[in-house]
Amino acid sequence: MALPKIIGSETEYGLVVQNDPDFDSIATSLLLVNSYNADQGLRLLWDYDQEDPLVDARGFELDDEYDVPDHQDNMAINKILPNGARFYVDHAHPEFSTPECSNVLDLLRYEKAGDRILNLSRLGANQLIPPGRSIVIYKNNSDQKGNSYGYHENYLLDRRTPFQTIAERFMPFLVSRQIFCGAGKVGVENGTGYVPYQISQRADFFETEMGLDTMVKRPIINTRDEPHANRDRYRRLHVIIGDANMSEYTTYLKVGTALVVLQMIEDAFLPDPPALRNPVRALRDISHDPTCKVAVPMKNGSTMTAIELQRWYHEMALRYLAQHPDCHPTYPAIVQEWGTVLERLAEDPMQLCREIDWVMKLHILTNYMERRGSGWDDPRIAMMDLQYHDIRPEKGLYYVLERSGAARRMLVEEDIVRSMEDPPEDTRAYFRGQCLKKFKNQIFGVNWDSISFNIGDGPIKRIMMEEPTRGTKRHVQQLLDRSDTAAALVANIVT
Amino acid sequence: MLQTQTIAARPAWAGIVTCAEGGQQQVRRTSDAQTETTTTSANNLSAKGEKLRDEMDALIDEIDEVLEENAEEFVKNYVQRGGE
Repeated sequence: MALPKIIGSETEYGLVVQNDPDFDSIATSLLLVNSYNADQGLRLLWDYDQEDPLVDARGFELDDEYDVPDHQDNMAINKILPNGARFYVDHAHPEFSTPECSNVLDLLRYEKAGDRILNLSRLGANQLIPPGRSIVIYKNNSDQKGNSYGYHENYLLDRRTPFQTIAERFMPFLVSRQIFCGAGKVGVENGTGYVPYQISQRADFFETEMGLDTMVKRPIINTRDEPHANRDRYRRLHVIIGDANMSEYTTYLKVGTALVVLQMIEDAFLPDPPALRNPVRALRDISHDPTCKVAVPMKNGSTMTAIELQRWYHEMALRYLAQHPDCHPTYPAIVQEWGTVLERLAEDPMQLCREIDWVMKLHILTNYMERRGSGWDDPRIAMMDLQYHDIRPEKGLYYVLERSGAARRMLVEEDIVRSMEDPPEDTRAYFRGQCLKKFKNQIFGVNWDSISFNIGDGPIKRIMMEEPTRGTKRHVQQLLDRSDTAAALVANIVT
Repeated sequence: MLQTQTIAARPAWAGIVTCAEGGQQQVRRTSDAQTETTTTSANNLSAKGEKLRDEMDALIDEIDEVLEENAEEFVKNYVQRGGE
């Protein structure tokens, strides 16, 4: 039986300031990150000491330079929140990383909490910029001008599973899953052949099968090896190919199915999948066909559609469930939804106009064009492609759908609101979040796998948290309850 | 460079059907399989179709209300650099 699957996601948001064509995206991102009304009195550092973004899972380390900001900058660009999340500036974008979650529904609610936090920051920051200007934020991956920004998923895996095995068995799944988790996109990018609409925001930007880079020559399988956890036990699979999703159901299916597939790979249950002749080409061809009928060449000379590829994985998942009745309790529902969605996609993808982002978007675009007598080159269509992802509930087109009951929900309001304040109770995010709430200004620095305290006398005390499944409420509540100060906490841990 | 002239929408792909129509066609297929199609169920279908059409009309109107003005300018100015 494999190790527990801890997951988290990072979302880079798109940013613009209305009526300010020369706006500085770094400065605006900084302003946003510093405008969230959590405890702005907190002055603590993101601990870059243990970061290794240049280590490659294939077994080497890139000899390159990696910039670490100085302390002043560090405190300005990094906010660690009491719910265990990280809200920060990454290059020129505001970025939100969820805390570590033990299951897909928790991940979903923390992602949604992140969207709310970004929106609140936007409201706060708008008070501070010249009148007539307004910050607008998008949860998407493409600016329609050749630039892309990412949505990254992170899956904790057993280190004993060879990386090559993961790559080979996961690749066809990643290439084809877009049929039920693409966010949809008007037009094409990066010199690919024109279509008016495609399934995925990210597909056109991927150029290689495997690699370390995340910004140019993007690889389907990213080889970054930075577990933020005990290196001997764990691997963190860093998946950069996914679209950011607005629909709760889409996020649920995207991450839920990936979890089940990775579980099967780790348990040595999944045999070698059908191998794609040209994965990068297949990724684009599948994205460029919203009928989901295109058949892509396989290594064995046959062709398969994306639905057929997904059906192969789904069939394995059904067998896995039958043989593992003690699997994670969220898996049966995920696999059931997966199967139903594949059936409906095969009948007619447009049946999923309440569930899957790319279908929902296409649905409103085609109905708009029909009623307004316009076409794909209508600027309003390009605007809708963008505004679907506007995070403002009163402006975002996804939220228009949600309000009219035209979007299938997985969460209730309460789930999202409490996720803005409280960390998950069943991962090390609990310890991080509760320390931040309780010991505030006695915290010197934080990383995913450590927290450092300034207890006054003597050097900074760094507590390592290399085990993502510990530091939970069950593990640490008593310790926290009997430690009134950080000094007491450290003393109580050590003894 | 976005053109201001609009071209009438023509579905580029066979099989792309709007959700409402797709739903209706599904229901019709089921009814055809039955030996009798009552007048009541036929009326229900067209009433349902009308309702869906009205709902979509309202949705499209709401989209027009919230859609950024001067779409062409807005989209032209939206450029993002330095993304992962």
